[in-house]
Amino acid sequence: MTKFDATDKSSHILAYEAAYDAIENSGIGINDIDAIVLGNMDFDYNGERQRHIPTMLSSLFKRNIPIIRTPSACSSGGAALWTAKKIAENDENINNIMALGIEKLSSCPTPIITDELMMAADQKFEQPEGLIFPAQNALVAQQHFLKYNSNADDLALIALKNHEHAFFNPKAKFYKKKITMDMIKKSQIVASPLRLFDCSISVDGAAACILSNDKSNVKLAGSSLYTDYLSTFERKDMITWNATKKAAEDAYKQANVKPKDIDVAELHDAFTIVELISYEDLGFAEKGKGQELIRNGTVKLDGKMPINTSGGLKAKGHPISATGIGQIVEITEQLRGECKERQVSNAKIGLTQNIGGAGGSVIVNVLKSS
Amino acid sequence: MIIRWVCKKCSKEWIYPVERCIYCKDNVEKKISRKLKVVGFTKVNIPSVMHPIIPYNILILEDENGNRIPKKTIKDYEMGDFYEEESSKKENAVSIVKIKYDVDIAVEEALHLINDLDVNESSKILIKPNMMATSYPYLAITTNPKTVSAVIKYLIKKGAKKENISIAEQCIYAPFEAALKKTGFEQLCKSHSIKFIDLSKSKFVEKDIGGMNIKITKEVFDKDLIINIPVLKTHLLFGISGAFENIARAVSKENLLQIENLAKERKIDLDDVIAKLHKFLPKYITIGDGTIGMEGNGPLNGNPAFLNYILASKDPVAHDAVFNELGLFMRKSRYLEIANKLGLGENNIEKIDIAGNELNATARELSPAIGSKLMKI
Repeated sequence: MTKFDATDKSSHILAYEAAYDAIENSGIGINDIDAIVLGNMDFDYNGERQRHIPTMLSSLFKRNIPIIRTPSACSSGGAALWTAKKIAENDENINNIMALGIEKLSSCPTPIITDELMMAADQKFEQPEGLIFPAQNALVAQQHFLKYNSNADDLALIALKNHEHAFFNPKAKFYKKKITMDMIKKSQIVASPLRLFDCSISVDGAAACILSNDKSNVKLAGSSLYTDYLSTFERKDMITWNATKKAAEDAYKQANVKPKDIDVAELHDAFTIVELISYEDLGFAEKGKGQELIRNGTVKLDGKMPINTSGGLKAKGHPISATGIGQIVEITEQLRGECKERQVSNAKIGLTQNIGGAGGSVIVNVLKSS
Repeated sequence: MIIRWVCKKCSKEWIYPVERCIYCKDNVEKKISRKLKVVGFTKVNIPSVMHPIIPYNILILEDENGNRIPKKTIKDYEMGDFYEEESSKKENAVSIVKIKYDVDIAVEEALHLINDLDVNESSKILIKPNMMATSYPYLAITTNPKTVSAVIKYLIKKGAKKENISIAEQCIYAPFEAALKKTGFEQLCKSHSIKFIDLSKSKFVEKDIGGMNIKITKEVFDKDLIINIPVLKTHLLFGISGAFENIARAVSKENLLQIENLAKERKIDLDDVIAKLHKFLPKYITIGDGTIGMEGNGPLNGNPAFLNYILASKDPVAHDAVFNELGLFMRKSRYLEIANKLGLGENNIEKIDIAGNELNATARELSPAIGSKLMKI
C-alpha cells in the first residue's frame, strides 16, 4: 500500500505503487493475476476526470483480464475484497485475484469534499437538511451519550489512542506527529458534540492485496457483507448498526471464532463514535458498555485487544475506497509479525470492519495466521 | 410533517412514495403526522457546497409513532421541544417548501403555509406557466408540468371545477404547437381535461405604461384567480426570472419585442417597465417552480440547478425577493426596489414573513447569469 497522505501523484501511479507492493510482498507475478476487483468512488472533483478506471488498470498492468469496480462509498475497498473472495471461490479459472482500492481526494477543498461525501447519504431527506457525515455521527454520539452515559472524554481517548498508534506507522498521515489530549479537547467543534479530532482525515492513497487459492501464511477465514437502511433516522435504533452485527456474526461463524478470540482489529473509525459503537456491535463489549474498553485500556496497543494499531481512519487517514484494503494490509502484517514498534505480541486472529455511509453497508473480515 | 407509506395488509412502512407493497402486493396508504418533537440535535460549524451558511442546526424530529426525520434550522431548540411550521396570514408571506415526497405534497404544503387559496365551484381560474420555448421540461427553461398538475389537483380538491380552470401562455421565440408538445403541456391538458389558451391569439386591452401603449391580454382581467407559475431561473437582463418576468408574457408579442429592442438601444429601462407593468395587472398568486430550476446563463442557456423546492406567495415582489436571497446572488434585481416604491409589494427581506423552511437554512450559491463569449443571444 502507499502512504496515506496528500500527494501530487495521480491515481494511476498510486494504483501502480500499491499493486507493485502487493506483487512484491506475495511473490505472485503480475502475469499470474487472473482478475482484479477495484474499489473506487469515481470522484468528479479531484481534477482527473477519469471514469472507466478498470480499463485504465488494464493499460497500467498490460493485462487483458476481468477487471470490475465495486463502488460502495467508504466501504468500496471492503466490497472489492468480498467480491474478489466470492469470485475466487466460485470461478475455477481464477486462482489469484487482486483487490485494489484507490482514491484521490486532496485536490478538493473542504466544502467540496464534504459535499461529495454527503452524496452517500439519502438525497431527499438527509442531503437537503445538511446532514453531512460529521453531523450524522454527531447525532449518533448524542444518542449514545444520553442512553448509556458515555461522553466526549471517551471519544477523546479513542482519538488519542489512534494517534498514539499512528505515531509508529510509516504509512500513516500522522506518522511521528505528536498529538496531545489538550490538542484534541481544544480542537474546533465540527458538529456538536464532535470535534475536529473526532473526525478522520481525507487523504489520497491506494492499497492492494492478493487472494490466492494456493496456501499462504495468512488466511481470510471469514468475510461477510451486509446492508442496512440508508438513513440512520429510518432505523429503529440509531446507535446499533445492524449491518455490523450481522456481518460480524456471519464472519465469526465462517471463521469458527468468537469475539473474545480476536487478538487485533482494524475498525472503521471514520468518527470516534463509530469505533465506540462498533466495540458493541462486533460483540467486544455489551451494548452500552463500549466506553469501558477505552477507559480501561483494553483496546490500546498494550491492552488485551488492541484496536486500530495502524492509527485507523482517524490518524492513518481515510482515502475512502483504499481504506478497506488498507485494513487488510495492517492485519496481515500484524499476523505475520511485521509491524515493529506497533506489533501486537502473539497476534493469531485479526478482524477488519469497513463501513459505507452511516452503517449502510458493512464488511467484516476475520483473518487467521496459518 | 412526516409521511410514511404503510402497507394495509402487512404494515411494512416506506419513507418513499411507493404505490404497492412488494411483499404482499397490496395497496399502501399514506400516513401523515405533524406533531413532531425534538429528540436529537447537533450544531454544524463547517460549510459545504449545498449548505454554505454556518452555523446551522440539525434536529431529529420524532412523531407519536416513533418515526423520525432530520430537519435543518438556524434556530436553537432543546430536547423535547415541539416543532411546528405555522401557516402565515400576512399578505407578504412567502412559503418555502423542500420537495421531500412528491411535487403534489410540496405544492399543497406551500399553499397551506400562505393560508391557502379561496376558491369555490364558480371560481374562474387562470394558470400562467412559463412555456417560452420549445424545450423539454427537464431542462428547466419552461415550467415543470408536474408543478402545474399539482396546482390543478389542489384547486379541484378545494372545490374548483375543471371547466373553470384554464392554462394560458404565449411563445415569443417558438411555434406555439411545437412548444405545447415538447414542454409536456399538451399531455398535461389532455390528462386533466383542461384547456390551454394561446395568449397571442387572445383579445388585448391597451394601457399607457410610461408613455408606451402596451397591450395586455384580456384573459387576465376577467378571472377570479390568477396563478402565476414561473420556473425559478437566473436571467441575463433581470438577474432572476421569477414572478415578474413570467407574468410579463401577458403583454402582446409585438409589444414585448418592441420593449426588447428599445432596451437594447438603451432607450428604456427594462426594470422600470417590468415593474410599472404590474400597476395595470390584477393581483395574482405566485408559485415558484423550483422542482429543477436554472442557474448560470438563464433564461435560455443556463444549467439545471436542482433546487428541489417550491415557493408560494400572494406578493410577487416578496416572492422574487426571496428567490433572489435563496440564490445568494450578489446583485439584487433592480425591479424589486422599483416595484416596492410603487407599492406593489415587499422587497425588504427582513419584513417578509417566511413560512415553512427558513431562508438561511435553504439558501445556497447559484451561479449568476453573466453571459459568455460562446453565447448566441
